[in-house]
Amino acid sequence: MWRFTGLGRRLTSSTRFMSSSTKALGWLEHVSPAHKDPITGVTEAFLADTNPHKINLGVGAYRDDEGKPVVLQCVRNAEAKIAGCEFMESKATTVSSKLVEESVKLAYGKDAHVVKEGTLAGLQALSGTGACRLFAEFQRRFHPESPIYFPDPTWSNHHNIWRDAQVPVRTFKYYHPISKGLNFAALMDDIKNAPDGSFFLLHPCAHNPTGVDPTAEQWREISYQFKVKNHFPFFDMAYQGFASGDLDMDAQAIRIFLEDGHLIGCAQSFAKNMGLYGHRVGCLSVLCADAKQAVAVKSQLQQIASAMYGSPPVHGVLLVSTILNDPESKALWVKELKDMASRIQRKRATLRESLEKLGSPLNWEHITNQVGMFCFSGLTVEQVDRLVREFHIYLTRDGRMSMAGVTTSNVSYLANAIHEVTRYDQEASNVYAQGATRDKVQVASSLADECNIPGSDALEYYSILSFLGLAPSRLCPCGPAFSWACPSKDFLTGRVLHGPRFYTWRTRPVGKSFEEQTQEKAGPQARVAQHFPYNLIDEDDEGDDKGIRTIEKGKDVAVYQVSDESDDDSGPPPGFERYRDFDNLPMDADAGQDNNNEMDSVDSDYDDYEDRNFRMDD
Amino acid sequence: MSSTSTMLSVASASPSASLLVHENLKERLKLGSSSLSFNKNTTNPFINTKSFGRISMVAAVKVSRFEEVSMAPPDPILGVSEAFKADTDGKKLNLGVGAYRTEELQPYVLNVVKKAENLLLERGENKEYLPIEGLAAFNKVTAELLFGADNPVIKQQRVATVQGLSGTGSLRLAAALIERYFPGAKVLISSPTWGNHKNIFNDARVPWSEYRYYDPKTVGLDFEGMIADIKAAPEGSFVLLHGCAHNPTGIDPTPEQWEKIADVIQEKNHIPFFDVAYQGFASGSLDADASSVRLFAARGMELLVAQSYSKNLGLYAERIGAINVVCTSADAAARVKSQLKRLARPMYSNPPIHGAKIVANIVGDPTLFNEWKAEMEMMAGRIKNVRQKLYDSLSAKDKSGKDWSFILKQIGMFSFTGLNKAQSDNMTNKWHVYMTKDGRISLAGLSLAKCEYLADAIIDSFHNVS
Repeated sequence: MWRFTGLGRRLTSSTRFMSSSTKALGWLEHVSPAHKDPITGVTEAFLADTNPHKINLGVGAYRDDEGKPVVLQCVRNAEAKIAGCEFMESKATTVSSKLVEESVKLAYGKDAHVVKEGTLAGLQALSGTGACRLFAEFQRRFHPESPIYFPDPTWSNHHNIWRDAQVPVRTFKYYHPISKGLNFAALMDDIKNAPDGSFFLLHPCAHNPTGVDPTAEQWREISYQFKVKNHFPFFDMAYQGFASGDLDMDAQAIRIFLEDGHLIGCAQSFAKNMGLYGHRVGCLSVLCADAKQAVAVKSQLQQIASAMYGSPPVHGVLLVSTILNDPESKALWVKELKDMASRIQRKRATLRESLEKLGSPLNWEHITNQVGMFCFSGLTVEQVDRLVREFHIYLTRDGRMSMAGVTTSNVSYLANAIHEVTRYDQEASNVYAQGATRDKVQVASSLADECNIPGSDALEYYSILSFLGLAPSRLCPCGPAFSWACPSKDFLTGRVLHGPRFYTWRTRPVGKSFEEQTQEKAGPQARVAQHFPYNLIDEDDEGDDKGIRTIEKGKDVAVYQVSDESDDDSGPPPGFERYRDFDNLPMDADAGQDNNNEMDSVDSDYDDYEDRNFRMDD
Repeated sequence: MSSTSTMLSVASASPSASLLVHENLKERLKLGSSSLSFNKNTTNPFINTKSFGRISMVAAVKVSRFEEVSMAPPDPILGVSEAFKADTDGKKLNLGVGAYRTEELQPYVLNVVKKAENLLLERGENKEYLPIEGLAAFNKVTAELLFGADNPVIKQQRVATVQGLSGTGSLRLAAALIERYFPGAKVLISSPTWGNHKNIFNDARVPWSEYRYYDPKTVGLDFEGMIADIKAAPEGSFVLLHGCAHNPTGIDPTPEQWEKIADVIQEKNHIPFFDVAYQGFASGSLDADASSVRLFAARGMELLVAQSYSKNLGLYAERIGAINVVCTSADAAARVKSQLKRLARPMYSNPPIHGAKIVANIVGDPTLFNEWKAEMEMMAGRIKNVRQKLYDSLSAKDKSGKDWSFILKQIGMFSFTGLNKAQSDNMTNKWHVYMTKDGRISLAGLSLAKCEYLADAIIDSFHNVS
């Protein structure tokens, strides 16, 4: 069992005791700065930009067509209603239980039998994050050995939440980078291959960050397979009503599972669909086998919450329960929610249309196929960087665009910019594909045969690559495999996945043999940590945590261990020599570059990929 | 966690159902993507279940993963409130809850809070996420309120302040910081202490042990024992101290004793960790109640301070507080802050906005700030009056010569009566006085009019029950 931790944390763990015990002062000196949140960096950079055309597509909060934050009218009305309300600590509990009652009706259906039977253990939580954390802590308490499976990719804070709760984390395949849609076959395989009775986190609608959702029929298949495997589905429903504009439609996945008789966990958030971001209102519900069990589960959840933050903040609860308890307010909310969702749907359509009108040869169907606040554009890191640099359009580097930031007035500018940056890349990859000389560089042809592998195999490793911070920047010239291209002065190096292995490939200047080139470049060992900001920790104590691991399907990841000190000069770890050429990789925007110029958090909707621990199967 | 019931239902599958399976599988074969699942399914007995359709699955399988979940023990204070509600006697008194009540024993929302809320409503501000560390304006004023705006730790920007969910949430953040950066380090907590302290450290997986604090003989501070236990703790431990108005005893060290405590902590390289839940509420003065914290800060020590605005602003349910970490340099403070944020992010992402805006508006506005101070003095004053009256009543009524002056020496919302469990039970069962079984009473739940009745109850329980 392998776990990766951010380098910073590992470093501190080796030194913390020394400094805390040697002297009284400076006992906090060893605390290193935490990684910054990439989302906020986007916002900060956006704010600092003075260009009138600038667009912020990084933020995960709804904006109106003028790009302004929105407070729903139903919320304003509720606010006026509760003003001067003599809330007190005692009232808070009653209000809170009303909120739970109304929330579970939204998730499971207002007539669902489980709502009436009292088999739901429901608790108000601190929005989606708080609900997830409560469940993660609960899971650790009663199933400490059971891992949780996340879709890959998922909202990166999921990794943080379950990691901090000390629950082992695994992933299952979800996204198909070529189709920019769902990799359903691989997803089903992963569900089948997971040990019976595993916990799975599912996004019931508007998957974050990809915007790719299974269809109703696919949900049925998934539900069936869950039943066979006795997996436990935990739904993180952050966007109910935001995807389709219809609350029931967006809960269809939950309803399907419910119909199939699953026991279910569900995190609900009112941050997006009611625009109550800063009020931290959410709900955690766990569907139990009977009412007695529900009472026990609820008491445990309550105990976990009371040692974490006491009770939930009352103001947001009052707002939500005021709205949900009053039919008129609720109807207004449903209408306003629909308006928000349709504005985003319209912008998706306009953006795709504009790109097609510009004559872009690429397929942009995924813009309208994906749902919810985000569009996983498929833009590469280089393309995103160009959008920022040349067009003042800000988004996270994985290519996630918040469609809420697209307005009538900026959509054509945005389409133009996307067309520009993708056109460039199209040309570039053509050059490589032909093996032609470009900047005195030629693609090494020796791997051409090797790369002739089926697309699905390559896709299997897409997730590994992206988690390692090596998100594929372009297609491999030789076929549908992925590579990481890293241009330097006279070099182009990349990695190709083929079968169970990574292959490193490189280009060479015309006239020199590959071997010559390799010898010239065999300089001092580069600091591996720059490229792979992850450590490999040997969790099963076999003492074999050093050395590179060859990739094997569904098993290890090709990573290596560096010692605690990143400036370790004791040479490469055993087995690393085989991959020596890797050392010569220059720093690349793609690699583990620290996001220095990246930000601090305002939109806390997204997190840094640097900052996650990750476990893979043995 | 067995699937016996499922298997049983499978065994009884009817022939017509099998036929359906066949149909079903043929269809599935056409779907290229599920060819793998087909292979598996043919050997899997569960496939029969599928063939019945979904309805039979509902009935057959309900394998809970949570069967072994037991009831968590109930919150003792909540239990007191519930028992109080159920009691129909007219004389009943609820002295269990740690929330302020007016002389009429009604909950109280500060006028200044209502004003601040109205301001928020008028301005109609948006509801976007706060940064992970909380509202900047709040973080600034809360640290200044604690240390004093002119304190060198503020001027030198050595304090890492992060908004927390009242005292509990702030303590939990600090506990998580200890767990991550000081693995194995112990937290020393007073015996007794607020019950939730233990839960917080347990859940954060931080080891703790107790130091002596309360002396039942004197119903006062066991100072010798406290110093000895702090001295005996492994070097580099965290010492949790109540900044003022110790909960549940109401017993605080004197300024001289605080100095000595600071000496020992410095000598042993311990790290002081303050829980300040009652600043301004204990004495009526914000500065006086923060003097213990400031004394430690003035020595140049690094310390942790959790703050809460539940009591002093009556914002109980808004969950507003902060964790402050005083560091040796601005640089260290910046790093600690970044790590605190990293701990908060997977817990709740960002803190609630409403309470933070209320506090920032009140403390940031000189008029409102002065109004608040006046209201706080009023609240503290009422509790002091009740305390005095209770003492007077006890002294006048009790002819045994027992010295009740410990009640006057205690401070804050609570008084530790020294009544044992049996005596406390007598208070409830015979006198309808609801309180926690450790002998703690909340003076906030007492009015002047009820003091004599309570004195009778205490005297009876003390002398007639052992």
